[in-house]
Amino acid sequence: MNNTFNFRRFGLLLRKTIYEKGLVLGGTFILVTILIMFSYSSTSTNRQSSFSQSMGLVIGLFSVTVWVNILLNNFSKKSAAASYLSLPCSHFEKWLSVFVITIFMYLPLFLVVFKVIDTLFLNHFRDLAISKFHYSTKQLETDLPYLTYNFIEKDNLNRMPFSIFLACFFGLGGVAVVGSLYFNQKSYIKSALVFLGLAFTLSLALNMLFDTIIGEKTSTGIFSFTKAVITTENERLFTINASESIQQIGKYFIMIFIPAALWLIGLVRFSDKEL
Amino acid sequence: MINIQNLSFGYNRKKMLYENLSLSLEAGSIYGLLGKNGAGKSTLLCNMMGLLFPVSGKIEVVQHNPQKRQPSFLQNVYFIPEEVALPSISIHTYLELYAPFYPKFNEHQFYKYLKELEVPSDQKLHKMSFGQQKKAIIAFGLACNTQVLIMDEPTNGLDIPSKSQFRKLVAAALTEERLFIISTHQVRDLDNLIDQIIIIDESEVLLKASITNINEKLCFKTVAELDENVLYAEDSLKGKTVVAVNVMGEDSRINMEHLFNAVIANPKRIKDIFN
Repeated sequence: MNNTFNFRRFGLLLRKTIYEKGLVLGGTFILVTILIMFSYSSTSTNRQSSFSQSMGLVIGLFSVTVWVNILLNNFSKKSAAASYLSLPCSHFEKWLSVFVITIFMYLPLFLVVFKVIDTLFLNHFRDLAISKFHYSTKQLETDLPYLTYNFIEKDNLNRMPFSIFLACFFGLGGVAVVGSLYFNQKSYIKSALVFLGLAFTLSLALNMLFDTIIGEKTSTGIFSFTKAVITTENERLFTINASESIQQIGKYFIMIFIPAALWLIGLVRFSDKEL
Repeated sequence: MINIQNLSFGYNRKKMLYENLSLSLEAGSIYGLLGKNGAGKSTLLCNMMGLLFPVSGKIEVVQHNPQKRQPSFLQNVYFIPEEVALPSISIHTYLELYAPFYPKFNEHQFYKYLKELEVPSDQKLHKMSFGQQKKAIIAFGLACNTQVLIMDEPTNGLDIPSKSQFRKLVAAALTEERLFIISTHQVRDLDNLIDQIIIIDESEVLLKASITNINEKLCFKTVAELDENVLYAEDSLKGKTVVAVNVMGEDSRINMEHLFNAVIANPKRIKDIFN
């Protein structure tokens, strides 16, 4: 018998998970849809649609943590944890079921529904913009662009590039997996606190490090390992960027290595997990 | 079938629950694991199931290391925890989702057990009373036909007729290839069911003996006066009900409660008698 992976066993596990948690997961998805629609409905034609699009993406990022937490909420009760851990499936299959349901089921579903909502609202906004404010085609393209899932950053859009959204989605999913497997009780709150605490500490440490190296007051973002903004005494701002190769390494480290590492820690944690 | 060698376990490394515990359990028997509240019965069972990991020592269950929780191991053992956590689905759906994980599962047996335990098979699991849920999971566990069936306080929540029905079903389900372990602090519930008794207290096994062996070495009777062979005595209407060393080779019926009290009260003497 293959104790690592078996298609039949994995299929049974997927079926069981979707059947048991489908209602809660479905409810979460409906809530996400309502929130996105609410974000669009609060936007008027006079404002750029990118706000709603950014909000939608943020809602998507927030929802993945809730989604993973629901999939792994078996550990809050000992009896449920015993039932889940003693189910005849390998650690890899249990981990993979969470990965597949999140990345291959939830993510495409979210993107499709988000795109449909965006198209419907944008069509309406564009109609209004033409009839009421006499927008030209060029204005429509500038002020009310449709949501696109391009991997290349668009200059005229305030929203985050799709590649960053994917990396964040993958990464936050990983944070939720690790958190759910490390904390049995109130795992969502504890994971969020640990994540925010780490992000704050890292940001503080980076700023202190840059201050020490550069000798001027600097500020960096949490994940801007390759960029520092220097404020001189005259309040003049300078940006120092690392070399292109270092920037590339930094980008891959943050966007691929960290999220992948989090998911892999989750896999290892599955095998260490006790009641 | 189950071999435990020098098991040490503790939730806190400074205060170990078990130190160097060794135990060997063979197929074809129903073992009663008895102990006071907090004696570590559930912990020992969880170690056998791989739900808790020992600090040191070796556990082997059906030629597997439980800690690895491999599917080939998990489909050969079934664990009924004290508190059951069942999803909000019907019994039929539960069967569809969970039974395929156990290759020797027998659907006919399952419905037969449900009928004998008077559990309605058309009800949703979460709408059942705790006792009904417990009976449903006992029926499922028995029908899985796993080599090892571990039950932690299975009679908790069961009414009196169900307790006797439970004893009947468990006794009938035992075969030469199977091993059942039942832990309880309600020792009377196991009357006429178990053929091997394990009593644990203060982190150690005080007694591990078969019913035949206990009958050979101890006798349970009512006497007018106590002598030096008496291990435990309790006042009754007809005199004193005692557990005494069986020096005369008398035949008697084991009183589980008195045996338990005798062992707890005279651990050293009991060890001398049985070793």
